[in-house]
Amino acid sequence: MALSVFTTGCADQNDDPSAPKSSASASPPHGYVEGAQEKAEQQSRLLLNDPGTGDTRVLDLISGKTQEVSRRTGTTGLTTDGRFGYFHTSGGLHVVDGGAWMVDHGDHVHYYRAAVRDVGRLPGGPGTRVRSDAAVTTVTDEDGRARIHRRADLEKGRAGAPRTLPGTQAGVVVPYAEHLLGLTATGQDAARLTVYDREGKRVASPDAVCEDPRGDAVTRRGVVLGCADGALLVRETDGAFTAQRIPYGEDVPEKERATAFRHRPGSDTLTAPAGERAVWVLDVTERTWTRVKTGPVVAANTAGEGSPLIVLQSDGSLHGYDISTGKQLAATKPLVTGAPEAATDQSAGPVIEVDRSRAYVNDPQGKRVYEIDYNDNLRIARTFDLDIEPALMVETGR
Amino acid sequence: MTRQTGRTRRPRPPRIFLPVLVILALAGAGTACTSTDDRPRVVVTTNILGDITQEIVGDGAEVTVLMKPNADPHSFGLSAVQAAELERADLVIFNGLGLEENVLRHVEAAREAGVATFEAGKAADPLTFQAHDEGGPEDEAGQPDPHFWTDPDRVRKAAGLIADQVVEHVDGIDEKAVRANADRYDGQLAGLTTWMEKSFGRVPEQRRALVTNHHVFGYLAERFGFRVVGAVIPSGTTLASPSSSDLRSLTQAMRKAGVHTVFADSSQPKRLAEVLRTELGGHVRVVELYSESLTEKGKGAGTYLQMMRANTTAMTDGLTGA
Repeated sequence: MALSVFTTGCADQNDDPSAPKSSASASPPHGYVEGAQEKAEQQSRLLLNDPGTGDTRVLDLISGKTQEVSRRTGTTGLTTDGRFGYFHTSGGLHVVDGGAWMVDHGDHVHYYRAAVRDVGRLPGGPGTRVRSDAAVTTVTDEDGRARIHRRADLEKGRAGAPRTLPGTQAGVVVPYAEHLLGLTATGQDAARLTVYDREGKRVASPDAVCEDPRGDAVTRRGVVLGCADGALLVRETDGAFTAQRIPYGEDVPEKERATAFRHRPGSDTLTAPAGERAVWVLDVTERTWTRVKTGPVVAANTAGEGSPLIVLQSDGSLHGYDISTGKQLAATKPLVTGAPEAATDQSAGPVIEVDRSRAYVNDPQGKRVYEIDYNDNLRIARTFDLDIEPALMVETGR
Repeated sequence: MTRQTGRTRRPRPPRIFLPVLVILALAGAGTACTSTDDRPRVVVTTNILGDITQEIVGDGAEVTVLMKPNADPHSFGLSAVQAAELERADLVIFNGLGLEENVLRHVEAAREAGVATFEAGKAADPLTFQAHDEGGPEDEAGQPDPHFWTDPDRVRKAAGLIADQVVEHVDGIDEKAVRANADRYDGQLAGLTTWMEKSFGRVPEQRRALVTNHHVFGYLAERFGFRVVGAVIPSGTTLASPSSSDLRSLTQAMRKAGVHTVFADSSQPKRLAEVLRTELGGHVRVVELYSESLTEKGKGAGTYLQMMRANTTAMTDGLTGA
């Protein structure tokens, strides 16, 4: 009996900093992530790609330094979920771990930085859309087939084996509130909202339809899905899902409806081009649409919360508008070289990425990225000169 | 392994068998033990309280500190081994008042398993957080402030109570030795207070302002007559090319306080000082303080006394322009 005291080994490992971390830990230290450093500040980075040459760079916005990563040719699009970059090509999706991300614990946030690394390829042709939450990443292809990948695999640097969601999707599958939101084709004009659990099993769904679904965004107040007559806002409270329509309230011609939302991650103010010379602003909190008249729109975005609507116009200049009055507040000289055109599914165009303090605009032909202080009359805070044409850009670290 | 609480200690095996048992154990387990399980054990959550407890306990019991040097008491967690250890302790000492948010449930479990637990912060006459104009823990206004250790008088009080707890709950400990340790340490703490008063006496009344993003100096401010002015410290991408509005929270705080010294951790302190100088004119200092954790031994704040002396010197020099 007395012997058992000694043969259990020593529990007191605290004096030995080199002691290996117990892998059988019941509760790993709060916020602990293997191979990553926790940081006090947001670790913002830009992933940049030149589809012509395949050159890919990661620009660290804190140090201002650029890092080369493996080439990705034939990219038609680049999207992110805040951590991973998804390089869309005809041969599938190439996944790169941008090595900067945040974990939101509600009342506080943890920021991490780690090495940039290649994760591998996920199947999916042109028109494939990728959406993520903390646990799963969904890949919805053009034929309406959706696959569910486990984030844990991607975080370990591998694609893993996905699970296929039953049925055919008319829109994109969006992970939200530990579930998945889909719009199932009904054979009619309108698709029906369907809620699944993370295993892909259907659960009780609110009775809601969405005609010609295009565009989606996750906000703190629910998921916004773009429909022919406005938006459908899907929310979860105490495990129950509700759906609410936010109609335009006016007749909107098809080419002027919102089909692609952009916003600051975490914000409840969405923007989308409204045809060629206006931008829609959807205030999800107030559930109101505002149409702001602008010059010819190439790209738009806003940080919300009283910050201006930022619009890149076809002469390459940025314009700032007061969202509530529609008044122009500021304009820059032309920044983006050439006559930029709005991005389409087939071609890249400049974008405006927005975070809590700055906006970023890529100038492909000028081989530059601009950092814009949107709360200071669209002041150009920094200009980053590059050795590639950054036709595709996303911001990670959030 | 049978779990044992402090109440039912196994009797010490007769000394003569010990060498034999150790040899057997080494042959059988292959892991050498630094501690023998029959010594009484005190487990402490934070490293600041760990140092204070170690001073009082001396070598009369095993003191295990759960929080590593340079860690964050708000977010450190426990391994399964540490959690189990907690439940085998004779006494668990924790800061409380909401500081160790991820460890509390383990302390609670230990208490339910019959382990004596002591919440030092609660016993040290806590203050409540004040609402700051900016940069302070606004949502915490009215909540008790857990950072009592920045007031050495409160630490004296807590240390005395820790000695009482050790005497009461750690079986077989030499009470005389504990009391002697406690008296000696109490004298050192009294000396610290006197020295801090003298040091801060060099800071003119109108300059006794701590412009900071740390929420831990409320007790120190109250004890030594300082004003804490909360501010948002620009960081990361904002600091690279800031506008006046990016710096406004901080520059307003500094103007209001009438000081040119900021006490904050910054990943780019030189850069921060530079942009503030441009904005305010004159020389600006950015001074880092030790706030919630001791360092490794010999790295500036290896003990509570060293931490307090280092911070006092940094504040005094920073505010008198030494």
